[in-house]
Amino acid sequence: MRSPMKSVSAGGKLNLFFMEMIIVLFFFSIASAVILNAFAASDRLSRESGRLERMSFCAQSAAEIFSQTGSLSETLEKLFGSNSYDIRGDEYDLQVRLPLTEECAYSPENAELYMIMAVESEEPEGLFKMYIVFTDGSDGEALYDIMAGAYLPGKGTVS
Amino acid sequence: MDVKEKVGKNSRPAGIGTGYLSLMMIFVTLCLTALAALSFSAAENGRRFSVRSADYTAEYYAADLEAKRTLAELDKVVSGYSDYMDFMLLAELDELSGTEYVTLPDGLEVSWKTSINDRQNISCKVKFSADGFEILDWRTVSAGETEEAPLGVWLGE
Amino acid sequence: MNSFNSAESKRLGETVSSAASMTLFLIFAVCCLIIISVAATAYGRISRNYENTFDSTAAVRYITNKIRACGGAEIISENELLLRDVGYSTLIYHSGGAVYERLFPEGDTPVSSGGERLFGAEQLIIEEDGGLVRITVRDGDDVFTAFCKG
Repeated sequence: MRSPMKSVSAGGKLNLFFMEMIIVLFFFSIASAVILNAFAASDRLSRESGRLERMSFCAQSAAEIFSQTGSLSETLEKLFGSNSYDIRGDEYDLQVRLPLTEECAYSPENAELYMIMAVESEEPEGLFKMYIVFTDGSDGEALYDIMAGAYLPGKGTVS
Repeated sequence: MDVKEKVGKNSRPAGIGTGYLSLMMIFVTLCLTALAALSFSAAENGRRFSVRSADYTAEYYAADLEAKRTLAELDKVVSGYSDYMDFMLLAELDELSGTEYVTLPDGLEVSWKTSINDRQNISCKVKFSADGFEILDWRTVSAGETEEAPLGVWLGE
Repeated sequence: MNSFNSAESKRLGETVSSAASMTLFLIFAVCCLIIISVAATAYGRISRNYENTFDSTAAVRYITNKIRACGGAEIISENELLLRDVGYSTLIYHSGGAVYERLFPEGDTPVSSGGERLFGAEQLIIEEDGGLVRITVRDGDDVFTAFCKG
């Protein structure tokens, strides 16, 4: 007796091959879509963690410089270099919104991130609070924020 | 013998046999799944580490701000007195919770701790004198650690 | 004669189909290989990126935390930092593509050799900048800088 496989003719085998190919491609495309998503998610996570690290270091540096100087303009100058920053507010409350790249470099042309720094005077005199928040350049979602301070008794107002 | 029958008997299997494609797809899918899982795991580890580090930075500066608030309050209280043995001053210092003070011949030494998280504190020690204040110590310590306890360094003996 | 011709043409058709299926199989196999190599490259990139980022950021954070916890920090050279404490001092230095740490009893002269390897890093720069310590660590394409009070 001949086995059912052997009894399949050459043309039938070809048909089987093409059918298998179609089924394999169908499953493979589904599996690939899932796997591709996993790779894309990994890549996004990897970039996000690098960006979070940079934001955290940038905020730390800003907090340390501000703690030393108590001045927003000096903090900005030391952190991002001499540029014309749009600092708004009065002598008790100042804020600035900086466009940054993902590497946390100042870039008015390419704002992938925004770093918002707000400084306000607190009681007693000489105590200043700085609020730093990073937001996404496209949707404005808050990504990271810290609160820092400076106590400089001789300094009455923010600058 | 019929030609049709002859062809059927002598012909070799046409093209690739069934099953090879499926086997190959299973192998490739397994490889890709393993690589994707490894990538995701590495990226997730990195993200978890970054989030934890960034959170610690935020906690540290929040505690640092709180410690500076305490310093500002102390400075405000102490600057109102010229005599650091004044009963009223000491009573006011007692009211500030968490602070400890030592009166010195030339000033007043105040120390306090501000909690960063449940494992670490910022330990502060400030000396107030007629010239203002001087920060003697401003450092992170483990919760429960005393500053005076030195680390046991092996001296090779 | 007619049946012979039809058998020949059938055989030719089967040969062509067989070659086509073989070609399809080969194309599939090559595509699979390409996909695997692309995935392996992506994994390698993500993994290398994670390692570089981890090493650089962990080094900056470690040094920052050590400075915050010590009694006093002294910059000896561009890649040597001495942290003084009660009864001992800690030397953090960069040598041969890695950051090392070595503890010395109080009074001993610190030397940049031996100690414990902490993190791999191509470059470590520690500078004094306006009363603050600026720490820069580079590993691969990643450069991380942070200020810390000294």
